[in-house]
Amino acid sequence: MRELVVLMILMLGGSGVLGLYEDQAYKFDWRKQLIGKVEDLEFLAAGVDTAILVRTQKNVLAALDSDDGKLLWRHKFEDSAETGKILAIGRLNRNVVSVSGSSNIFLRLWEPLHGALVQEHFIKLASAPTHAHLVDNNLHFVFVKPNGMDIVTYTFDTKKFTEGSHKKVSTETTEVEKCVGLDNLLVCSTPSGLIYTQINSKEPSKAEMIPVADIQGSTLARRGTRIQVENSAGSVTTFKVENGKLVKQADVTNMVSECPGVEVKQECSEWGTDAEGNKYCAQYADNILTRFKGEETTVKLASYRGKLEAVWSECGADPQAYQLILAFQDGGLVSVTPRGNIMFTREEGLTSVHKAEFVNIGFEDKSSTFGPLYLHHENMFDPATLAQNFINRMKRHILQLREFISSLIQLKFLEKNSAATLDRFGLNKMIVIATEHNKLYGMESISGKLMWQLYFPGRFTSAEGFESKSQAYLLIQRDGRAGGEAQAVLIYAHAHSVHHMMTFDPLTGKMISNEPLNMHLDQALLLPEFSDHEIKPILLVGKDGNVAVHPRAAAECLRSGPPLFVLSGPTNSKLVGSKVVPSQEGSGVSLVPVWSLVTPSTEIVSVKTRNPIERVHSAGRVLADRSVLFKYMNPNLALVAAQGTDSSAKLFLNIYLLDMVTGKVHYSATHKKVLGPYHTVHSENWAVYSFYNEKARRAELVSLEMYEGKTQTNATVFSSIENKVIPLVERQAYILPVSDVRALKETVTEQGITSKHLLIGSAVGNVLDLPLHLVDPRRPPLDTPAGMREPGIPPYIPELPMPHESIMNYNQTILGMKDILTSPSGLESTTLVFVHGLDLYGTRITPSKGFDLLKEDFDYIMISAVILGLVLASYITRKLAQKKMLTKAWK
Amino acid sequence: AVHQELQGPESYSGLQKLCDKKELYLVKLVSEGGGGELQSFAAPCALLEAGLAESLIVHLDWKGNMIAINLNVRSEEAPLKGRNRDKFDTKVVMQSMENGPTPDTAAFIQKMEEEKARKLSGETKDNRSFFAKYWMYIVPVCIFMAINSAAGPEGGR
Repeated sequence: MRELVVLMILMLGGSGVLGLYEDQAYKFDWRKQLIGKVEDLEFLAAGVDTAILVRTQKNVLAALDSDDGKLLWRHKFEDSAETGKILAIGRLNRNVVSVSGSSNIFLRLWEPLHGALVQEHFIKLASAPTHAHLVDNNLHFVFVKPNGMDIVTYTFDTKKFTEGSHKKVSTETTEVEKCVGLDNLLVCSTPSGLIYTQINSKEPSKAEMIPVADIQGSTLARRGTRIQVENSAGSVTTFKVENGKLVKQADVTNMVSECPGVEVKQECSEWGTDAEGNKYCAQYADNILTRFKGEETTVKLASYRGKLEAVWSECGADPQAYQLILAFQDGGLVSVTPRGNIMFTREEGLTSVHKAEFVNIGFEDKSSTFGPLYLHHENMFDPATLAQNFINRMKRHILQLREFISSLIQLKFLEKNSAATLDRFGLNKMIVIATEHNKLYGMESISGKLMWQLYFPGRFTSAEGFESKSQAYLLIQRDGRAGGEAQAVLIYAHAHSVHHMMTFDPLTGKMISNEPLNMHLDQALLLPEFSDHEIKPILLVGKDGNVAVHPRAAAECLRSGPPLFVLSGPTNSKLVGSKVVPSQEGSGVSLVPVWSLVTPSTEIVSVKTRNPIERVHSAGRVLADRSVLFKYMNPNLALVAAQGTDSSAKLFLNIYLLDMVTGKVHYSATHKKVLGPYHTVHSENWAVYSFYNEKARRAELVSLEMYEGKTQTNATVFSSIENKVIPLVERQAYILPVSDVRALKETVTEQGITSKHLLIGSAVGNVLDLPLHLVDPRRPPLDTPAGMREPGIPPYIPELPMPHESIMNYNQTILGMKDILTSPSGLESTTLVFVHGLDLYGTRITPSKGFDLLKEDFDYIMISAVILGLVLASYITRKLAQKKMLTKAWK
Repeated sequence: AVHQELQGPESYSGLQKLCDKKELYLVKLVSEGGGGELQSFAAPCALLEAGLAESLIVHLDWKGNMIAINLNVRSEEAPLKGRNRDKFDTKVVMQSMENGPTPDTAAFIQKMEEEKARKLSGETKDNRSFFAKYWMYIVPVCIFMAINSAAGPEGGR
């Protein structure tokens, strides 16, 4: 018992109290609650105000305030399309109706004001329907069969749910792409045109066909009382219902919506031709035109958003007072008044973050004349460099002082700068985000405010693994600290062409160039910085093995620099390491494969290397007997995870610790009967990975640590080729307190002095901030006497604790979490954290507490009063003492 | 059985040339069962210094498939060996994959059970000496007595 108490004290003392005070909530963090790219939208009168009911691609049912677009309520359904996909939304009397699922359908009725669940009906269908259509209290399911279509109709209300009629419809073609319902008419798009049929009549019928040339079936949409579809060149064909028949309206070529007479148009300003010779719109007009009763209004958008994809509108009693809601390709939802003013904008593209990077803003204003603050750490103790740095610093301080005085005189310090705010401690960074909806965003990490956005015509498919990662690369070539312009590159698969490379300024969002790469890109790698070249070069590897360096001048540096090895062509079951060999003349570069790792019949799921900006402070750790165990810190080491299926159709996971230069396998292990998702983290001399143990039905975390031994071979330079140390790998497994891990990340700080923490994101929406010493593989057995224990490591308990105060995002749930990003700030104690998913969350954490920060409630007045008082008191007592001495002397 | 052949220019001088040009000495392992090729490399200069003493580690996965080879120079043995300049001295080591660690719940549960059993069977037997057990009562009494005895004579005066 006593041991347990000691243990508890150790735990508490070791991990520290991580929670925060009530008044600190929302002070260091921000959260954006998003819903996803809107698929369908309906206006509903909820009480006094109108609300907007939406269903989105992210399986979210939500209600927005129609005036300011604020979120009233939302429900996120399951992630998987099988159970969570929302098929249809509608209204029934005072309730909102949603239909979700695939073959197991949930029909739910919600209260519109607060989103409370009123009733839930469950329907088990034999197969997944192609389309679901809600008309009042009727729910129609459409099944496309080889011999036609089956339509099954159900009737429901808040209490009952009854199965209605079955109906068979024979069709000419069964290649149905998309269906929409318009009142009692079902319209579906096929490769040659539209087919339609009556949905509510019971007798079998034949679907009628309207041929549409060059149809793009996915653009079929119901807009108000019309049906609209586009052809591949983007022109709109409109149909309306007359006496139960679909009639083409040749005079309407713009997008229409619920309000009669309102038309919306987006011009195409630049046409392009793809490789197959098809015409497409390469650039749309910046402004949207709305037409009402022959009167045209221009809607000026603040930024380019790509194609206008959908239009909805709400007409008031006055036909002049309508509200338009436009949905764009980039996921943006824009609400417009009849005069063309923008009521609100929602950036829903941010729910599909593909790549995100932290970029240093820099400490100084670009416009000022201060020299670069960037110090070269390599030769910091060289007297000449020291002197230079010191002079630079003095110059800078004098300039700062002058600036401050002049700003005092001109009262300039009252002005607020609209550009990204620079702070003294580097707590603010720019988060550059590339979304799957073709948009780049620049976001301030301190507030989550969007600073800029930039459109790129990319293409994203729903591929998994390496395939998905290679669709776009976001590479930061130079950040704002180095002086001069920051530069970043986005390499993306163009929607109608080969890969393109877009160069832009990550701090301002200004595009510098956007050019096609003349190769079929396999992967793009950011090479390390060379001392004589301030921009990090990019190595482009083509599918045919061709290699290019960008910029071309960097090939020179490759020749003069140390030999470079890259991991090339990671395919599903093979890793190949290659040496980069620059040709003797010119800018040619080739790859020579030097090592390989083949994992037959398994699939490599992740290759995790150390964060290149990471610094390690201590080279060893002190043992209980006061000797030092040196860490094996190989910057080229990677943790490779591969998944395979064994003979009993269970998954297994193979783990390798692999040197990426020599291809040496330092450790390999297998875990059988596991399930994904797998998450890996590799940093300093340790690595952790997590998986779900199917046999024991729990999530497990395995921790590995590598040590050189009691002696260190080479303390200054590490070379994978020359180093012959075979590291000792310590290992231990733990049971995670969360069963569905969504993200795993380590904290990183400027100098690596601060202790490391692990951030574990769960599907529930919380991020656990776990001190690393709790997953230390060297945690001794429980019965180890106190004298034999290493300092700072608690005894081994298989289960990891989950104290509520160490949940980083306290009550701010992050729905649909996808990944966690960390970045060092200018302060050693502080790490910046950005979590994305359906919600975005930004905060900063101090793993070793704020040892270089003054407390929030630091009493400046008190301390200055005390100092002043002391000075005063010493002055007075001196005077008194002098007087006393004088009187004594007179005596 | 491993059959090793040196390709390219003649062995020793070839290696010397590679060493001068700071290139790498590559090995390729071709398995006869059609398992594909595996590659590794070593620094030729180090190999020459070690008198062509090398070790080849073949990594196997848990099913017994070859996944990787690592070529290492056995430089630590070099002085002991006579330098046979044209013959490779290759040691082949097979390294198989181990089972990954699992949480050690059994030991922990056992520990907890013991704790519980001890609690149920009553207080633990305290076998410390009398003084070790009750020093916190004895010491204050002693101090009190010491103070009293020190103060006593003064009061008597």
